[in-house]
Amino acid sequence: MWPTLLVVLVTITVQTLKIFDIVRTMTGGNYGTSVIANEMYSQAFQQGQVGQGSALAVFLFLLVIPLVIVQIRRTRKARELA
Amino acid sequence: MTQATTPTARNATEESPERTASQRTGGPAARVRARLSGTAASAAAVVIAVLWTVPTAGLFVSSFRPAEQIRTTGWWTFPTSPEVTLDNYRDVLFGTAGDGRLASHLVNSVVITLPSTVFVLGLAALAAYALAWIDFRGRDWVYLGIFALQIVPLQMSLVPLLRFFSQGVSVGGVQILPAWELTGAMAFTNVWVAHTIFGLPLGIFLLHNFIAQLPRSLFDAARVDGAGHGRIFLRIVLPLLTPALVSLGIFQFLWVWNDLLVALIFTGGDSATAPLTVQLAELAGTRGEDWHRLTAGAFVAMVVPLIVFFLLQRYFVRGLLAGSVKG
Repeated sequence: MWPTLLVVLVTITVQTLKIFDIVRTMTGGNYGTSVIANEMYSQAFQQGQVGQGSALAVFLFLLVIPLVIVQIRRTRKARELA
Repeated sequence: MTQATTPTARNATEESPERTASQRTGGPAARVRARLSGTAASAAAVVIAVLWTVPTAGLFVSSFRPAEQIRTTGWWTFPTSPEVTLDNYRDVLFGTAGDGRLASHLVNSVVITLPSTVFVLGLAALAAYALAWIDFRGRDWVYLGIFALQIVPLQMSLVPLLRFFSQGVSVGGVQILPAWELTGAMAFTNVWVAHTIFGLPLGIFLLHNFIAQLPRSLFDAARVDGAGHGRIFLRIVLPLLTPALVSLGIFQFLWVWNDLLVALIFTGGDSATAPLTVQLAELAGTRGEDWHRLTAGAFVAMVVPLIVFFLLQRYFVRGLLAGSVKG
């Protein structure tokens, strides 16, 4: 039960951290609703600040790394059992 | 209820150890089935299904109402003032460029989605076979790397990939790879490559899990008969892989079809190559004054995925069950 919940939790968390299209189409990031992915898009591809956009992308990656480690640990354990 | 069923199921399996393996594995499955088909569970399922369908149904009703009605009253007032019109669909599909003209973007979406799905299926099947059944040094590390890539946000690679397409690769001022400089219809290639790259980690992971479960004796027998890796892959692995390929194909198709970010960046906002999603996002007008068109537009965008899903549904279910029963 718990391993399954953990997998779903990690996957959904990662997916939600990366969310872009809903924010983009609903508010366009206005009224204080911008998220990292949306901000990254407007910085890099609309305001021409490629450096700032890339920095936001790397920040997003840093946020995700702990979750990647959890996933890898789990997979290795599963492979050793198999 | 759960505590009542669990001991009886266990007793049944303990009392008859001479039963076949397939019947024994039916024990937990039967228990789960009994739990899920209870009255409370069914009621909960129905409630959830209705809750999840209401917004879509409302959108569907709205898409047939005249524009002024959509803007002034909610869809639930439809029974009191039933006025049905197909104007929304006509505007959205064949209207002026400002209205959407989704018909041509529908074609763009198909042109983008089909190759992106086929490339991922082909490459992922080959890679998964190699990672599962060909021994080479560092195989586990390559697999772990691909596994980790699944979780890396694709935003990380947007700027480098876009620069790769537009400027090529140069190290220390030396041009190693030229810029692609694809214009017109060839610009689709950029989107195909991008979608293929982003789809491969999940594809390889799913297919690897499936291929790795195939019995080793199958491969040994084929090798004794003189088959090389190519023949084993084509004649044995691919036919057995079909359900998994269909599942992955549906996933990848839906993901590419619904994608906005990648299309927005790699079609460069060019309306000649923009897929449905990009046009749909602009359909509401620059200040959102034409949002009533979104109702019909959303349903135009939903039709193709629905058709694909229902056509392939039985393969999909088979694919999800594949590998769950051994015998």
